[in-house]
Amino acid sequence: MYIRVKRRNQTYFINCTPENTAGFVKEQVALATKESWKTDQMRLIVPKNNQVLKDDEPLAKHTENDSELHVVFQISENEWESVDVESTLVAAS
Amino acid sequence: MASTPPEERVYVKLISAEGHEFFVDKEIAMKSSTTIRTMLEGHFREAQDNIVRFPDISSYILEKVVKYLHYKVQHTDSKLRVPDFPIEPEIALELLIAAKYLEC
Repeated sequence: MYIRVKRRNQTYFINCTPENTAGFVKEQVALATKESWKTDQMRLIVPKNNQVLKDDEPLAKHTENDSELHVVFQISENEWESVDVESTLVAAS
Repeated sequence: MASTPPEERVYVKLISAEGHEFFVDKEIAMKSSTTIRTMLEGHFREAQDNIVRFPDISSYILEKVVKYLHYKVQHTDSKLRVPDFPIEPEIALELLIAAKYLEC
């Protein structure tokens, strides 16, 4: 299956299985950004309830195929980015 | 389904008209779109930094296309009944144009 991980104006399409963990997804995002960010500088968030996922949580618990998650990066020692995802939905006309 | 071990995957960046960046597994992109494969295999700049720009395709359409690329790779050679790929009628025309360009 795949999930879409979103942040600002980016979407990471990550191929995975329901048994994969949040930690796995973070590693793939790190890979996609060519290691600009390490996994411990990321937080994966479930958009519905703003829950932060722990690294060992299986994806099956919160996602299914084509689900959307949000990711934020750690800017500095104590600061994290705010969740601010650019919408890619068609504007209602 | 994934033949490359996860730690060796390469991601390519597809950029829409609005500048939204879509990171996609390179293997999936190349398998499902002839245009993307050609761009990434030849001696174009795209092949060097794995970035392809689509100034004529909007974010919503490009996202739908990438979802389709995954759907296509997921169900190619599948023996089971393949589920429908939902397409909203209002985007069908733009999606058709993008699909023609991308040969997928």
